[in-house]
Amino acid sequence: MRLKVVLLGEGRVGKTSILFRYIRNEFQEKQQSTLQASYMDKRIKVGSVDAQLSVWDTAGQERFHALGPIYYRDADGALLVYDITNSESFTKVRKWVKELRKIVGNDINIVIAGNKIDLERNRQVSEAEVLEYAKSVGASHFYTSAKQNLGLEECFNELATKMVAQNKAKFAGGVAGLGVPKGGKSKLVVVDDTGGGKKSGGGSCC
Amino acid sequence: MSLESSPAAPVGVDAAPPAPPPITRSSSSTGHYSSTSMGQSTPISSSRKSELLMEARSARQKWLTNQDPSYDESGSSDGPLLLSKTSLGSEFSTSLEPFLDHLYGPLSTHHINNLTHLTLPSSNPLLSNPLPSESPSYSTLISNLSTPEASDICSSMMNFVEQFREKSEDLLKARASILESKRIAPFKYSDSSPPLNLEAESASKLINQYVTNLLPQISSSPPFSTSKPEDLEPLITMFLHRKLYGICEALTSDVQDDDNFAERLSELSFINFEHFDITCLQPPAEEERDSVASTESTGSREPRQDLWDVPLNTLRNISTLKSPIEKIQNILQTSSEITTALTSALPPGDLPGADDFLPAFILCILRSNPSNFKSSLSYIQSYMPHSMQISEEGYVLANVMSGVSFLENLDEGSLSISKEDFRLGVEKRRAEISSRIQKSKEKERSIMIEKLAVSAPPLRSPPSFPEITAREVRSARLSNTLPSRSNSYIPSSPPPPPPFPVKKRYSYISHTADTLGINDVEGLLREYKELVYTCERLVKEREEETRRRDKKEREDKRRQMEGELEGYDNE
Repeated sequence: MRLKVVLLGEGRVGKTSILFRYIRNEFQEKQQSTLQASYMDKRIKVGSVDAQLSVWDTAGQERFHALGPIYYRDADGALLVYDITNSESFTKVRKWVKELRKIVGNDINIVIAGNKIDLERNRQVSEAEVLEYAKSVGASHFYTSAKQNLGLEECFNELATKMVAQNKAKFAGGVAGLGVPKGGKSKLVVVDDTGGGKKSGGGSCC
Repeated sequence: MSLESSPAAPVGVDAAPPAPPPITRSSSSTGHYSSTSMGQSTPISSSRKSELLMEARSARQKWLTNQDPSYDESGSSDGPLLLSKTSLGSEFSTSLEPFLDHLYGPLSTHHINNLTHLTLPSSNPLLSNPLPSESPSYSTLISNLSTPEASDICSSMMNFVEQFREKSEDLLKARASILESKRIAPFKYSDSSPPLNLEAESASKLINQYVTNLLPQISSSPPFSTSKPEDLEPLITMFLHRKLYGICEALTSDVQDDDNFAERLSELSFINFEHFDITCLQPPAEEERDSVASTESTGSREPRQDLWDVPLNTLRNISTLKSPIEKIQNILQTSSEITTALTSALPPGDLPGADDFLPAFILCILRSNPSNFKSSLSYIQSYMPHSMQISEEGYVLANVMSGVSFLENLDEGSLSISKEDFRLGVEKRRAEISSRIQKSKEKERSIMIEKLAVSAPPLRSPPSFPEITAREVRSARLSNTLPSRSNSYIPSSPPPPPPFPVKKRYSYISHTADTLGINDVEGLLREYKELVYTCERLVKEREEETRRRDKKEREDKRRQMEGELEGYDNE
C-alpha cells in the first residue's frame, strides 16, 4: 500500500530535520551530500499491512502559499509542524488545516506536531489551546524534537495507522457502494468545518 | 493473432504479420501447386522462403534500431503536421526551424547522452542509469526483440505503430482546433487543475492498453523468459513512446504557450538568489524570519557557480528527450544536481529542505529557460505512468509545476524586492528584448530589401553587369580580395529565362553567375537549404508510400496464395 504524506509547516519549524531524523534516523550528522532532502520513501508495518510512505516536503514560505494544492493533491495524510517557541507558526497550522479540508476534502488524515519540545522553557504556544484545537479538527497531536529524536516514530505511526485504516475502509466501501463516510471520520469532519473555523478565528488573537 | 484484435488495434485486423502456418503448408504442397491468376509465380521454394524471412527480419531489425527512415517524426506523416503546427508566422523558413529540430533531434540526443553522467539514487531500475534509453536493460530488450522467436511480437508492434499513426489523424485535428480556439479566446490555467487534454489522454490509453495486452505474450516468448513482466512493461512502453514521439508530442504541445512562457522568463531574468532570501543560503543568524530586508546588507551566499551550472545545463536538454520517462528522469537529475549545488553553500552536514529547494528550483527554471518547456511538461503529465504520481517522480514534477505556476503569476509582492526595483528590472529586460527583436527585424528587412533589389534588375532591363575574367578571379583569390568590377567587360547576353514559370519567391532563379554578388550568398544558401529540405521530405514521403504499397502487395499476394492453398486442401 502506497501512501502519500505531505509535510507542511512554516519555514524554520524544523520540517526538514524531522523528515531526516525519522527516515534516515540521523540528525545533521554524516549525511551524504547528494541526497534529496525534500522527498523520502519509508517502508512501515502497520499491523499486518506493509505500507510505503512517500513523504513530500513543501516550502513553507508565505510566497509559495498558493502553490500548496499542487502538492496536496491525492495526499492520504498530512503532518503539520509548528514550533512550540513560535506562536505564529501555530497560526499557520490553522490556516493549513482549513485549506486541506477545503481542497483535499475530509478524507485526508491530519497529525499536528509541536516541534522543538527540547526548548520547552521558551514555549509560546499553550498546550491547552493546541490540544483543544486538534480535537476540534479531528487531528492527533504530538510533541516532537528532531534534535533529540523524540516523538517522531509515534507521530508517523499514528498517521500511518489512520491512513491504512481509511484506505481499507475505502476499499470496503467501494464494494458496498459509494457511501464513503465511515462513522468516526464523518463526525470529525462536521466538527471541523464549523467549530474549527470559529476556533481558529478566536485563537489567532492570542 | 489475438494481439491484432486487442482493443488498441481495432482497425486493420486483416493486416496481420506474415504468419508461419500458411508458409509451411505451401512448402509441403509444392508438388500440386499451380497458379491460376499469378501467372509466373511458382510454389514458394525453401530458398525463397528463407529469403523472405531474412528480408522480414532485416526490416524488423531496422525498425527496432531506428534505422528505418520513417522513424523520428516520420518525415512523411508528421512533417507537414509540424509545419502547420508551428506556422504562426507565415514565413516558411521560420516554420522550418522546429521541423529541422525535430528532424535532427536524435543527433542532439546523442550529444546529451555524452554529457549526462551523473547517476541518481533510485529504486526504479530504469532510472539508475544516465538515460533509460541507454540502459543495459533497454538494449537487452531491443536485442531480444530482434530474435526470430520474437518476430510476431515485433510485427505486432509495427502494426500497432502503423495503426496508431492512422488513428492519430483525428486526434491531431481535434488538437489543432483546440489550439485555434485557445488562440482566439485565451484562458489561464488554474494552478490546481490543468485542463485535461483528452486527445493525449486517449493516445496514452491506447499505448498503455496495447502494452498491457501484449505483455502476457511477451513474457511467454522464449527470449524474455528470464525477465519479469513488471520490468518489461516500462521498457516496452518507453520503446513505443520513442517510436510515437512525433505524434504524442504534437498532441500536447502548444507553441504559443511555450513562446509566451519563454518571453516571460526572459523578462524576469533579473531575479536572483537574493530575491528569494533562501534560508539555507543566508548567513547563520538568530534573527527572526521577518527581518527580510536585511539580506542586502548581510549579503546572501550563493552556490558555487560551477556546481550551479550543472542543473541549468541538464534542464535545458529536456525538450530533446523523446519519452515521458526520459523527460522525467531529466527533472529528477536536475533536482539532484540542485541539491548538490545548494549543499555546497551550506555548512557541512546541513541539507536543503523544500524551503530552500523550491526557490532554487524556480531560479533554475528561470535561468535555464529551456525551449518548449511547457509543452515538455504537459507531455510528461499526459504520458507518465500513473504509478509514478505519488513517488519521487511525481514529487519532482509537482516542484516543476509549482515553479512554472509561481513564475507565471509572480509579481513584486512574491519576492523580496521593492516595487520600484521590480518594475525597473522588468522594464530594463523588456527594453533589452525589444531592442534585440528590433535589431533582428531590421536585419531581416535589410536582407529582404537586398533580395528584392537583386531580383528586380533582371525583370526591368538587362543591366550592364561587368564580367570578370577567370584570371582576375584567380588573382583576386590569391590576394584574398574581391575582384573589382569596374575594369571588366559588359556581359554579352541577359540571363536565360527559367525553363518553366516559377513563383517569384525563388529570388535567384533568373540570375546568372555574373549577376550574383557576394552579398547574395547568404540568401542563396538559405534558399538552397530550403530546397534541399523540401526535397528530402518529398523523397521520404515517396519512400514511405512505396513501402506501404509494397507491403500491401505482398499481403495481397500472400492472401491470394493462402486462398488457393485452402482450395487445394479442400479438394
